[in-house]
Amino acid sequence: MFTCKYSRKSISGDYVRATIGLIITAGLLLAATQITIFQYIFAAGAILFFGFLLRTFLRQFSSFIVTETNIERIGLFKRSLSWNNLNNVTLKYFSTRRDRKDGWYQLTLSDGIIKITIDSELMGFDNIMKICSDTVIQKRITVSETTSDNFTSSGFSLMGSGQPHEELMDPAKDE
Amino acid sequence: MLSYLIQRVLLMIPTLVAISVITFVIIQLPPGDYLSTYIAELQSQGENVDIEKIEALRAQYGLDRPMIEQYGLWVLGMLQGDFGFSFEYQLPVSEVVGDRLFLTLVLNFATIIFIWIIAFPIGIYSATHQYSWGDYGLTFIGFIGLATPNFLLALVLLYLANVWFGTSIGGLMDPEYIGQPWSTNKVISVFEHLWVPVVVIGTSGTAGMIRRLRANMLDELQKQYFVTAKAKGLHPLKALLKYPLRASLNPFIADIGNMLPQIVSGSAIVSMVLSLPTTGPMLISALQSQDMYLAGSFLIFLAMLTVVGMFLSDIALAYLDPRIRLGGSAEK
Repeated sequence: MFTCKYSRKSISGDYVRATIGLIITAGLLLAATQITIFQYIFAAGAILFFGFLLRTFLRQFSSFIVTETNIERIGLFKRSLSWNNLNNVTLKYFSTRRDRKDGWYQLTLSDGIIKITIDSELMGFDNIMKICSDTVIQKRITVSETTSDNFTSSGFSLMGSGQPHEELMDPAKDE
Repeated sequence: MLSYLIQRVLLMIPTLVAISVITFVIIQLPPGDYLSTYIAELQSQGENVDIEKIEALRAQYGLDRPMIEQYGLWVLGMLQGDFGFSFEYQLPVSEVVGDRLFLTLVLNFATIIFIWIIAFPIGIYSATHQYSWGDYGLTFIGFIGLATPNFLLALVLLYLANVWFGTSIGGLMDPEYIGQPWSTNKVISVFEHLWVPVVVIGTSGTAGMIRRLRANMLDELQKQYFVTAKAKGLHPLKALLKYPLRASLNPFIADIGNMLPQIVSGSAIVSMVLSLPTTGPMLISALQSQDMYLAGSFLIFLAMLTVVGMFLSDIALAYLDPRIRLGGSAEK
């Protein structure tokens, strides 16, 4: 069993982003003397940044307890998902750069009813990925090509026994 | 996805600030200002110019202030919804633009829909029937469409309409509706006049899209996944629409960023030829007369549309083709 939390660095970074965005968009919205297309765009931006601020707040007070049998999110919105009931896994990769570097992964686990979403900024994300890839292979869960590619690129192949991809590709292991 | 959206939005802010600075500097680069152009115009007509009055006007419009101060006032005003004052029209910019922006949006959205409706079936047909008579014929028509300048087509249509039907097809509505409030008859009149500029502006775009869609589809149709899908018995039409067409659409989605500003500024020459009350001719006129707030507002609006368009196309691409944004080959 292990417990994971979002790192202080990632939480504070998100707070800074949300605050800057909210100050700019809401400030400009409040300062408006006439309603033009810009004000609608600022309003949409303010809603977006406010939503992001709320999500960051929830993340700050959330943590994940991972055991051999289940993964549980504790905090303001508790949620528990058994590895045995896992039937849908999605791993997405986001990057704001054209060369797709410096991005982050987002892992979504679901049993059809309960959904848990985790970002790679979570401390212990690699351990969850390892358990997740093993479960996907053992339970023969169908995943999209994108998810499979993303698991491979992050070092966990879904093609073999759940071992990291490099080990599977190493011919010396067969000898 | 929320984090992605937030980061993309935050990146847009410095981009827009930089664009606004560049736009303002470029508008200010030509020597003089609107009033000096105005004085030169009056003097060329042999009229006397009251220098004191001109200086008073310069102070009134804030043209005597340092450039950075003018920029600050312009940006702050714009962010508050005040786009400034048009010197040429002696009206606030928002009033000058008026219906023109709306009519431009109607015209160009209609053009985009026309292009897509015509280009998609032809592009798919050309790709799936490569080197057939139909493909050759449509390719030939496509090349003619690409090679014909829009303004020339507009002139030809104007001439033919005048010679054959004795009517003018210029404008976007009958003259009696110009400057009148919107009514059902005015809307009908707009739709009656809309097809000519839509066909004129859309011809080259349609031809270009047919060529690009055909090329993209041909690439995709030769890939193994499509051959496998067909070999496994998937209905050819379903296999075609679900996979190769979807992959072929990426360049068009990525093009949204360029398409949105063209909605406002594009087709300026055609608008002049056909006397269309759109924003393109107004932008050119504002730039020529150094009507800085009108021109600046247009340019910053175009820049904003480009940045927002890029943002929308990135999000659409992420959904349409996960390989582009969400795919592998990335390092954590």
